[in-house]
Amino acid sequence: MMGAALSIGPALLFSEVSASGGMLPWYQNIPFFSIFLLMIAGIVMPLFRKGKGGFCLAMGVSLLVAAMSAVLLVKLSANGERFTYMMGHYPAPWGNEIAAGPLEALLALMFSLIEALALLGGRKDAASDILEPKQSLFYLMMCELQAAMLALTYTNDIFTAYVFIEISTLAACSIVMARDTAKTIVATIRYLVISLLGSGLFLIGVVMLYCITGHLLIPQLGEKIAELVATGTYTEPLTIVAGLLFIGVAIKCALFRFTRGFRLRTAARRRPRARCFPAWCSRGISYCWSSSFTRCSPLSSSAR
Amino acid sequence: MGKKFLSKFENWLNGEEMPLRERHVRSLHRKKHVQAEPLPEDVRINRFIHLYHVSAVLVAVCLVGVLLYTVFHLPLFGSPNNPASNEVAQRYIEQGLAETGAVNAVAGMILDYRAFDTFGESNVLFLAICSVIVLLLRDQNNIVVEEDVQEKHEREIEKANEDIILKRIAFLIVPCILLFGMYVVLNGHLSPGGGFSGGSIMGGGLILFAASYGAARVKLFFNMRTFRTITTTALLCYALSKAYSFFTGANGLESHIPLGTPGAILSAGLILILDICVGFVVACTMYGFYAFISRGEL
Amino acid sequence: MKEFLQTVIAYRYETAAMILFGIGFINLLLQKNLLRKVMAFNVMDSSVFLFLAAQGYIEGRIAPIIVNNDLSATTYINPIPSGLVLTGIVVSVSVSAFFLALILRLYKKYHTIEFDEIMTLAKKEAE
Repeated sequence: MMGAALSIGPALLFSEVSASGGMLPWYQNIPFFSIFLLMIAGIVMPLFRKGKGGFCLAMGVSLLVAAMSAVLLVKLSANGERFTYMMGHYPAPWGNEIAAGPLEALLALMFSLIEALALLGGRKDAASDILEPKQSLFYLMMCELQAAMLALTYTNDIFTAYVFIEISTLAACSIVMARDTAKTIVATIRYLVISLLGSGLFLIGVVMLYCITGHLLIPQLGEKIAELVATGTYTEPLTIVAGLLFIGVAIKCALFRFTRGFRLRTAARRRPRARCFPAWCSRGISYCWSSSFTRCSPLSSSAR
Repeated sequence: MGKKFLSKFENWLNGEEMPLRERHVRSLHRKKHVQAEPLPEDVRINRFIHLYHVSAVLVAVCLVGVLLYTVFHLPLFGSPNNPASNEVAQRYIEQGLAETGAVNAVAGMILDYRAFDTFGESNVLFLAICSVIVLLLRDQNNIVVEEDVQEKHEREIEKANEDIILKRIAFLIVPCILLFGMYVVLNGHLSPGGGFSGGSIMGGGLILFAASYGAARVKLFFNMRTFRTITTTALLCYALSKAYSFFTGANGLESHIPLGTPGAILSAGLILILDICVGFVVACTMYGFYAFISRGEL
Repeated sequence: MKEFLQTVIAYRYETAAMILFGIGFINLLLQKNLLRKVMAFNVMDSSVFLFLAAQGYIEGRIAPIIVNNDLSATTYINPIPSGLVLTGIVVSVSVSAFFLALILRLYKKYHTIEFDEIMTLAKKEAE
């Protein structure tokens, strides 16, 4: 089946297109390729026995994705275009979707550059602190974290966002404990417990939102919420859902005072700044979500 | 002055933070006035713990109260006019069979309509097993000599007193479990089941086999190399099939994958392949969790 | 009071789910024993799945496996929450396994699974 698919592949590029839509402009495939390249790089990483191979693959894919995001940014900011990309054969609201505009391309470029710098800056420490067979797994986690950040930037679906938030939590915890000392493991547990609290609240918020509106894709959610606000139905649940979603993500970003200890303690001493990547990424999650909610603005207006 | 600033900047770049105590002591020196005598430390700790528990219980009670209040304003349980039963659910059932070829509407939904979420979910499982490997794979950081000695002693006792009942029953049951697991995986698109549940069943069968016959027997056919190969191949196959499906779908191209006749095993397009890949990954992962937690190696 | 009881009975699954969520949440936050934190996390997530599964149910309809070539949407319950629960269960299992591996490492080092004891021992070690 795979062989057949691979042989059909090149023929498709020159075949007739179906009536439902033509070939998209080539740059609109960039978000999809960025996410998948990173995830595939993460999947093949365990095959590398030495850390050097893992580092080269992670660095290479990061720079490639950064270059692709830069190209996308240039193309999209030229005419302020914003497009949606069907992940599958079915349009929204039946299938998954990712959406990209100049802001998303800029965020993707930023995350890729931060990741490349973090990999470069942490290279010596990673090579010395982490034991040889586990170095490729460290680079796996970095790739998956970057993939999760990009997927969160581009996603147009709230449940996809939840799944990739969980991926980023697991990957960030693994990166924090990469040094394999008791201190980092204690720090990881504290980070994990608070992250789980945030995830639990976020998931309950998503489930209640689905219950009220019946949609999981953000544009459809926006329309349905505007409708509900206009008719005045389910006003209290909407307000509480907005609060739950905000508090869930905010807890994960260590925005509250009681989580302040994590930000100081997760950065163990004598470690390059670049290893504070998990903290930067949690900020990144909040930026991604603030941009998503501005798209779904009736949600924020109903909270007033 | 410039040199001091540069050296401070270099220290910051290399992650050498000023220790908190030093910063605190410096800020104390800056304050000219003398503070009142602080309370003894254990009294302060007890007060803090008491306050922490009380406030945490209050937060929890408030949270549950708010959630219950919301729940009573949600759509009624079991009502057919819920907002959730809309055109989305309607299409999954009415046209799911024709579009995906799967008799199981849920399998059609998670592996075809909303396949990106399932791909993320498989990655979560893969990340978890890799994290467990990073934590528990035996190396110089996490070997405790006394525990090794104790475990060796226990293995010797175990070898001396072999559990005949366990071995005989496992001999009869494990093939049935593995066969049932494979059935659940292969029939994921036809009946309740799928890659995740079938994979867990197969993983459970492997765990029972390892527990009754010992790890050495399992290592004959399932070791670190097999694990790496199977997980990487299965996930790669999943990723490439889904990438092909997403690319052709988004660009409006025909995917040329036959849907087959509904109800047959070889039907539902890519769903059968994805179920098999996911089944392998989940089985390896479940056994991996057991092996690493009990022994620290596969 | 009677109305309140009637509402609770009408929303019985959702009420149970929210109470379990609160129990799981507070124990995840408060418990010193790490293993109990894992159990509390599992209770919390299971309550969310109960809530989701209750959302999908429609009175008098059967599970969404097509039988007898009956393709009308009024015969089956909503399939979407079942799919979401499937994803959630896998995520919950993965995180639990990771958490347990962390606890095992800490136990090997400090021979205790009470978090405050571990913190005290870790601080003493740092000095």
